[in-house]
Amino acid sequence: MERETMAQASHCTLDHDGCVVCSDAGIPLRVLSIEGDDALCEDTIGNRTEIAVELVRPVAVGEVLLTHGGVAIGKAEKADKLPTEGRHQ
Amino acid sequence: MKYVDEFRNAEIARAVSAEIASITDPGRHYKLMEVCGGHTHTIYRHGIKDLLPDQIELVHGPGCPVCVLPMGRVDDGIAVAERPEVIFTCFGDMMRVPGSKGNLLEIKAEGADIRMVYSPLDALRVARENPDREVVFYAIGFETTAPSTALTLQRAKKEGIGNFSVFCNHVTIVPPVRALLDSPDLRLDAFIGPGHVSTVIGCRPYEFMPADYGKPCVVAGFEPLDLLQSILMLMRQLDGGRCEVENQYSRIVPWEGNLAALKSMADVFELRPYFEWRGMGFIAQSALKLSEAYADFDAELRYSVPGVRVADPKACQCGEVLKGVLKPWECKVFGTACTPEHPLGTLMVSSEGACAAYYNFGRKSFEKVEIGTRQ
Repeated sequence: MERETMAQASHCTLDHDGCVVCSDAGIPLRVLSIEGDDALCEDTIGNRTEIAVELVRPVAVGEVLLTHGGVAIGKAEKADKLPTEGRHQ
Repeated sequence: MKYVDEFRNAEIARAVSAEIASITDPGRHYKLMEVCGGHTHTIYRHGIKDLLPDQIELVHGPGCPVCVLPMGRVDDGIAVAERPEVIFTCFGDMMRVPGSKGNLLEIKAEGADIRMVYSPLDALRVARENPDREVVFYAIGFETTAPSTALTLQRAKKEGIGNFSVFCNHVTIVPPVRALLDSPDLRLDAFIGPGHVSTVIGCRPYEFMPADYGKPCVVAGFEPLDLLQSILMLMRQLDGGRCEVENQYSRIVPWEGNLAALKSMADVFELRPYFEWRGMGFIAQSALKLSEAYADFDAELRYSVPGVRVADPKACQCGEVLKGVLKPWECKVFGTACTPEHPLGTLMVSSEGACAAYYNFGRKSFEKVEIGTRQ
């Protein structure tokens, strides 16, 4: 998945995540490799870290995960519309 | 950068802003609450308020867990951190939150072994590496953060790590919002729902807002255009007489939430009968504690915490700001006795706190106050 897809999910990167305890800071990271319950992931500017992926299985290399406090809590969907085009349920 | 630029595109922002203005009733005052501190930060940082008609007032909600933590719980954490056998771990922002006799940074300077971690899994790693010490993690946060604590405890139990425990201060978003809706102080028209909390809990928990209180809610993302579009969606509902929950942030938030995360939380946590919120008092079933199955990992049971209730400093008006009754700059000590460098209240500590966000990025209303006071 392209890096641009990650960037759209949030303005946060690993070295600038706002406030992790704010509880609504989420960092989009791309999966580089998976080993057991953890995945090596990379942010939009190349920072890498290990992320627990039990809560978002199945996970594939290249997917973009929304992470918080070292744990993936969601997946970013590849957006094909701009925000003014009525992306809502 | 592609997509980021588009979500911050000035031309589109102006078009959305114009559409909001076109459906705003000039004779009506609209009060929209952004529940989440992350949204407050975006609103001030990107000057969203300047793109809205004067009739639309954005009220900042209680969605910053550092900000709503009562001083007594900070003191309880410090009491555990001061124990010689303990390695105390917590998130960075927690280090500067003032207790009644100082903060964790000051206690660390006096010799306590306090370590900042990025994830509760890092705290568990510290426990593995220090089998002769007791490692305590100070857990705080809404439903975005609670899954990481739950997952960490599940791993600790599976691995049989006995020298690890959690001092649990996790809170939930729906009860305080309901308390705000029940409050006679505040009359709100609609809500901007928290984006990443909703990644975990989904959109269904907000259905009580339209159903029980007749208030629309739009779950929103965190880029400037996300916020503007969410406000437009709310204004369309108010203009068209509709009242429902909508999901502007559907590229991240599934309507049903993350079921695996919810299951993990249900395994590890149970609701507390009540919990104290700064400025809002005790709210029933608004916080989490460890379940019976994880009682061995509960720091509140392992150590005797004082559990003393401490009143906020008299000059501090965080409570009124948290409830949206006062704007940050209307607090008596805003920018004088209370600054991000020397915070008196929690809202000035966290970068997502309304006061810190306004101190760093706000301007328009502050100028109005200054002009108004100079005769």
